[in-house]
Amino acid sequence: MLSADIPALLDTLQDSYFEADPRGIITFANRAFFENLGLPGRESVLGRNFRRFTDGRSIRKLYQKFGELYRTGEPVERFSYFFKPIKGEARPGELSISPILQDGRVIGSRGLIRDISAHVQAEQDLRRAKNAAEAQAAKLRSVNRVAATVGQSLDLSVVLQSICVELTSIFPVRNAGVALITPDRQSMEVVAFHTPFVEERSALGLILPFEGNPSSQEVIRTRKPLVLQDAQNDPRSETLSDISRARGTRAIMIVPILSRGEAIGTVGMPAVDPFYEFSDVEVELAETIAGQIAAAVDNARLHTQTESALTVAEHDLEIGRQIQAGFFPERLPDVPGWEFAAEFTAARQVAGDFYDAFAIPNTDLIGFVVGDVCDKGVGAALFMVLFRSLIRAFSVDLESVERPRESLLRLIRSTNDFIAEYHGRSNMFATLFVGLLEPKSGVLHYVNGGHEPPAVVNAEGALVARLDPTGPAVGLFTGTPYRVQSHELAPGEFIVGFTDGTTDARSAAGEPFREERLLECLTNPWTSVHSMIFELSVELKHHIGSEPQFDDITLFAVRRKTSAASPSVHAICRKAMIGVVPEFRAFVESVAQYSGLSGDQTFALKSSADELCTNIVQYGYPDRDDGLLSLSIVVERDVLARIVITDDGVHFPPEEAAVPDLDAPLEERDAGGLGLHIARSQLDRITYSRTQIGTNELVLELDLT
Amino acid sequence: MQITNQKMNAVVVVSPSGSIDATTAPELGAHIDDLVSHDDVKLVADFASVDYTSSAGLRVLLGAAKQTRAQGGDLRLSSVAPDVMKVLSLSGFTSILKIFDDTDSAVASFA
Repeated sequence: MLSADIPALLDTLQDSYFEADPRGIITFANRAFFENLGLPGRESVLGRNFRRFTDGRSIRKLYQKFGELYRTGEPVERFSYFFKPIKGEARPGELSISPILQDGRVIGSRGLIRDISAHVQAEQDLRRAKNAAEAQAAKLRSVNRVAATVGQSLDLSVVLQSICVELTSIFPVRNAGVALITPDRQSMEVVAFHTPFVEERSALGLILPFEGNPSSQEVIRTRKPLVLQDAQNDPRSETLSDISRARGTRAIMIVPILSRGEAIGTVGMPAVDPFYEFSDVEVELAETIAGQIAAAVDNARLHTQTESALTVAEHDLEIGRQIQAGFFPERLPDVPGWEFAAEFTAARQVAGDFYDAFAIPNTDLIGFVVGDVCDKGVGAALFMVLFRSLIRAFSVDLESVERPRESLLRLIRSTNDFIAEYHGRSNMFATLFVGLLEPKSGVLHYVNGGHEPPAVVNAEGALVARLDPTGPAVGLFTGTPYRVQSHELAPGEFIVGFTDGTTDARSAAGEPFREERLLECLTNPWTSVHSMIFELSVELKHHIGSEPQFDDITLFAVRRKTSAASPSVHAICRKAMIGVVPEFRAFVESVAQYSGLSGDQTFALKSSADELCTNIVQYGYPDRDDGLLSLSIVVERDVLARIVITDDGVHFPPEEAAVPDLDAPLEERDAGGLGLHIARSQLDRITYSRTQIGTNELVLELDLT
Repeated sequence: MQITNQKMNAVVVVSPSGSIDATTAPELGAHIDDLVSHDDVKLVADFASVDYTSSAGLRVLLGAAKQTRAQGGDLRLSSVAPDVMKVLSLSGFTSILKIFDDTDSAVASFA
């Protein structure tokens, strides 16, 4: 009796089972059917239309599926369906229906509904959890982005602005604003503001007074976040209530910005949904970000302070440098039969090295000094100024020409005793070489107070003497004894004073320049001390390379010319290659400036020398790379400047060069012969000759009259 | 020699710095050739940081002006220092090159 058991069997199913006639009237339902609908018994469903227990959104589908069943007489594949319990929400299910057949005709339908709400619920829970996790991760990413922003820029307004943008993407807020306490501590100013809503007005620059604004006061005082659920009516935001009302603000979160335990401002964020309730997690996150805002503000303030302190210091140092530069002689003495040259390069803005050279009033004597104050920087610079001024002041005493040696001795003693007595506590001293030159006789009287011995080189380029110390460094103890020595310079002889910064100059490999190399450079038959110092400086520059200079470098030289009437011959010689052209140009410029020529005259000489040297190295050596190029300059004051360029390349008289057509239109213009044309148009004469030994000699002359 | 480029609409402003002589001119020439080969033919040579130029520099400017004009563009100069202007006028370049007081007006002249 299987069939008699079927209804009982159907009652044991958890899924709802029903049978209905063609109109949809339920003719049978199992227990699960009415129980799942929340109905008390079978009778409450029998005789009622199945449609009544179907949720509105599934009615249409229901007609469609039953239509299909009656039309085809075939079962309909399971489809999703919402059924409607008597109370509560519609529930998701899956419905499968099949026909009840009699003599091949469809006389009704039967269906099975599987309640899948638990399954759907689980899925929804899972999706919600996943969304929550993703949201959390997004927030963390935002926090990281905020942190990165803080680190990236020191421009506070840029940093805070991008933090506000982040805040509006993290929280469901209408806007985010950062307000900092104003310097008078009476109010706060909105310094950054962002809103994703176009219709929202910016609060940037808005001043929020503390007075009558207990909410801000509370946040600042308690250093704790505050969430107002009704900002328009909350007494704690009395003064804000107008603003809040105007802005439609209700729910707002205010978080303190804490820097070293003190509140320096707040972050305010009104919710988009006026009745939104900020969660604890959100408040916590906002506090974290407020911490980063504090870091940004601290960073920027610290940076501004450091910057301005640095700027002030740099500005002061630059003024110091300019003042100190005024303590170096503007021009070296101009004495017939003698030439002076000097080079000074400071390692820092202000220096302890110095040189000086000056004519002693009412005499024909020339005094000069090369000095090195111990230590570096500002302290050394102050003492350099003191030493130099004391020597100049005490040199007035040298006006008594009869006894120059005694006067010189008095000068060094007075300087020493003054420093030792009045500045003894500073423990500052200097090594000084002080010379007193008698130009007529060529005799040099000197005191060497612990300084590097200057070298004396004769006309043939041989080292003839070192002027050793005649006493200790100056300024150590009062009453220190010094001796005066004398040396007579022969015609063509020169003396070079230098400081230890020269011999100690370091290369990239840490190698010092060394005294041997210095002496090697000096011991050449130099025809001018200017050329000698120019070449020595080039050597030093090559040696140091791009390394920061270790110490001040000072060179000072005096040369007795071979005859009193002859002008100095400044010369330079290099391998004939294109790379040396800039050095020739720099040399010509330095000699012209040294000789007191005008800017136009200087430019004419250097530009002409550049053009002609370039032509020689480019065309003079078509198949050789061992050529030599030399250049010498003589400046006869107010008469003539003459440059002689000598090379051992091919014979090439300039008159054979192309002559450019300066009136041709651009398309027909040719650059050939331009260099020579530029030289010709600036000089008075260019003459070329081929010497007997097979060298080319170009003589460039510029009248100075 | 340092050379920087700045594109302003269809115009490229080329800013060399230092001295332009036989040792540095080839670098400037190669730089301009590169621009022209990429169809940048409206050029402004901003000479604000150029303190000196020899005929080697003029040769580069002449070549660049010819090249760019042949392709419907031009090379125009701006912010020329007095020493550089002297060489330009001695060589008759002031009549064949367009020279402007500042870069903005040189750029605007292409509009």
